[in-house]
Amino acid sequence: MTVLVLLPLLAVAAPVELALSIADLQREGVQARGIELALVHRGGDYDLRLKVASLRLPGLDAPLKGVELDCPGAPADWPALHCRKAVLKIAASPWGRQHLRLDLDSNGSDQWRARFSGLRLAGDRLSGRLSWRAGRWRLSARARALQLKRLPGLTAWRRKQGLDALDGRLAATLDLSGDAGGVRALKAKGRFGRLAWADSAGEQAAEKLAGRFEVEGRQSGGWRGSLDLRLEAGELYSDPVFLDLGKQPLHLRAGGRWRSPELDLTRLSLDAGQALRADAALVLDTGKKQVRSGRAHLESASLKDLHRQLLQPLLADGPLAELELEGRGSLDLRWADARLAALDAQVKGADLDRAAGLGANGLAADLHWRRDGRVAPSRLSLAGGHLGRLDFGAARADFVMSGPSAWLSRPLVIPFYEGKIRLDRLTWVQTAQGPDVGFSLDLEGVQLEQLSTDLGWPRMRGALSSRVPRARYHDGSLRVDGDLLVRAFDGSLRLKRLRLDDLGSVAPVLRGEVELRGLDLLKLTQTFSFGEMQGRLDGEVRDLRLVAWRSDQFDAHLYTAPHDDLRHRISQRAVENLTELGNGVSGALSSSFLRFFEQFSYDRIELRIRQRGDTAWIDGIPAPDGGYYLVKGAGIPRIDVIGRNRKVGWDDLLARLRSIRFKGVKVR
Amino acid sequence: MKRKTLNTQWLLWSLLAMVLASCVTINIYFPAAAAEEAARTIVRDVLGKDDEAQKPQQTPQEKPQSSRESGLARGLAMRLLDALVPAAHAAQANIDISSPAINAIRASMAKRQGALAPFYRKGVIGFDRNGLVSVRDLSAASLRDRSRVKKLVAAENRDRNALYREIARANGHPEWEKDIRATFARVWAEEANPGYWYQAADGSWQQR
Repeated sequence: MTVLVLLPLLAVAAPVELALSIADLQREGVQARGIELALVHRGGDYDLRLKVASLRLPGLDAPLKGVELDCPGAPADWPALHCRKAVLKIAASPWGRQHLRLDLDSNGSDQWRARFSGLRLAGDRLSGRLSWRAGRWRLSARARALQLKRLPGLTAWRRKQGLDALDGRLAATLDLSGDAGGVRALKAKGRFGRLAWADSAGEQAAEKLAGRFEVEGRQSGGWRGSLDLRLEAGELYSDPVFLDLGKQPLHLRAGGRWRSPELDLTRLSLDAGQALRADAALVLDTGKKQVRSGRAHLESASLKDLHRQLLQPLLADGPLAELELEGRGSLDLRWADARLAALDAQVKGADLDRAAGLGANGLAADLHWRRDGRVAPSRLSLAGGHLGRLDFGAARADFVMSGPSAWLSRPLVIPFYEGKIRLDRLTWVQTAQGPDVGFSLDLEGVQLEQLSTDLGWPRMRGALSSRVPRARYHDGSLRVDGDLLVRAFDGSLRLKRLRLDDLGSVAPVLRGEVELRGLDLLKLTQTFSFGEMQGRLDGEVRDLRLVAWRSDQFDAHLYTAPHDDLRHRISQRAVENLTELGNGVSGALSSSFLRFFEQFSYDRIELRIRQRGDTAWIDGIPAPDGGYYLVKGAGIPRIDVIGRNRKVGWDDLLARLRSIRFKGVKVR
Repeated sequence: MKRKTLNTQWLLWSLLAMVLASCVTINIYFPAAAAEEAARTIVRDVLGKDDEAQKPQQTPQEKPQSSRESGLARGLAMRLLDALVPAAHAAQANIDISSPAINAIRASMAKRQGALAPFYRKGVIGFDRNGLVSVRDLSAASLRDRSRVKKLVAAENRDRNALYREIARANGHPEWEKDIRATFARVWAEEANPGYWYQAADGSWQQR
């Protein structure tokens, strides 16, 4: 330190002037250069003028330059300094040019304090206090309308955070304390409005955000502190979550400790009104962005609000977005070893409805899952519901969820059209490729009359029973092992080698074979009002492939059952319909004398249809003149239905089917 | 005389060898014109444009799918093969776009177009050079719509990828998928409605 003292002492009665010049001064993190001190002593007071060319303070990246302090009428209490109505001018600082009013007190050695007002910062004028004592400092400041985008250093910070824009207004009180090493404690409280930010990808953004905050922190081997944040207006998007805070304000409270990279949130609570309330205690790894350990409890008093306000924007235009959800629920989660270890959920009095889709009422769930170890059984029950147009009754599923697996602990029975759907076995294993689901299913005594009416089909009578002995869904494909047997029309339909691929895609592909045995044609034709026929029908459909539920290929062969003991009769209308199907011509019979006969005998019926994409080939019993019999007559009057065209466009054939006079049936 | 016989035999054997060699390397031409016509039909259908509204803007050249080797012998052999097997030359397959899977995918895309259109117009999304839809400026969408845009784009691209694969498969040439995708990429850009954005071959975004 170099000291140069000039003492132009005048007479004792006259004012005393003192000038002091210090080239360089360093102490406890403070560094001052070019110090010039001037004192003018008058009576008991003196005027002080201090100039510092460059002043570097702890915690500030850039020095203050051109600092001038004018302190008039300070009482002579050397070395103490008491300065009222002082003016501090700073030519250049991180906050720009400054002109402050100050009240300053110093004991002249290790402590001083200052009250200030008029500190220009980011479009606002701040007032506050700054004190220094035994190497520790403290700053309290108050801002009324700080413009965030004008905050010094904010641009650099914003860019570091990957934000293209950050703006808003802030009214807050700030209390900072520290030492030469920097900030050791902070407390801030205030309001913000018109807060907006945006990253370049558009995945993190806020608009017109308004709210209140209170934050407190203290450094001792890391930071300890708390945050109370209320978001009361505006919109927030943090991919993929969107929040309309005007509609549903949020209140977040958190407290804990942070030592990079670990954030230990000893208490965390979120209040989004009826939609969601949550409290949690979590240890987070901010580097890996994962939960190391902890627990969370989430509760929704209104699943409807939860769905509309928080979940719906996430679901885009998918089927779940159309869901109408009612009721209330809760969810408890526990993490251990950086993985989810337990899940418990309760849903009560829930109704869900989706127009023309799945609906359920009186839904209640008590779900428990553990990553490993023992787990309580889970239960899902409902009072009733519908799947598309079909209704089903009250049901209860009891199952166990453990690790990657879930399985029924007892058979699930769903009342269905006076019969039941019974699932004896249902297992779910979550694999890296997705779920692997296996099940067996029985359909018992399902009454066709109401079922067919609800489906918009012709009214059918009798009961439907079938069995899926074993089915497996994996990697987008559903395979049925074994045959699916449907008993109907006094005969049976056996569906074999069923396989459904690309399930969930726009164009699922169904493959399989169908075997028809002993169908009573009278019951069948009465049901579909095709025109009465008597006899038994057998048949096979091979290489069946439906793409997007539309036929793409098959080889069908329908024929009179061998050794059929029933009468073989066919009505005039049925003949007309078969003729139209085979030749695309109708009305041939009604224009001849045969129109006077209601029914005819036949020997055999046979129809073969082979479809490959746009083209179909029709065939029957070989006829001697090159055509084929669809109906080979018998007795007198004898009638044969002989097809001539073999190749037909598949769409044409479908059009013929559509034009057939089925009563009350729309052929698609 | 003997020398002449030898020369004739040599020539015959050489021709035969060339014919056989050529049989192995028959170029199956990707039917670019048919593919372009098919792509334009589908694209106009999806975009809800009148089929007569706009004619193709250029006539693409037929492109061989496998590379052709040069060489006089190969040229001669090809000419010989063309003469011997005219059907091979005429086998410019049409592109079938009527399979149930293609119809289902087209219907799904056409249904989604109404939801995508406002985002095309705002420049949030555009047709990229890979025949898919890309998010080009998510910030141009309201905060409420951003998650929806991303999900719509993902669903659209699932359909588009399935469409290109299915067209190739339905036409019996799964290996054509890449060419079909490239054809579609060009046609999407050409048929883009006014105001829509598309990605040029160099990766830059242009507005129609």
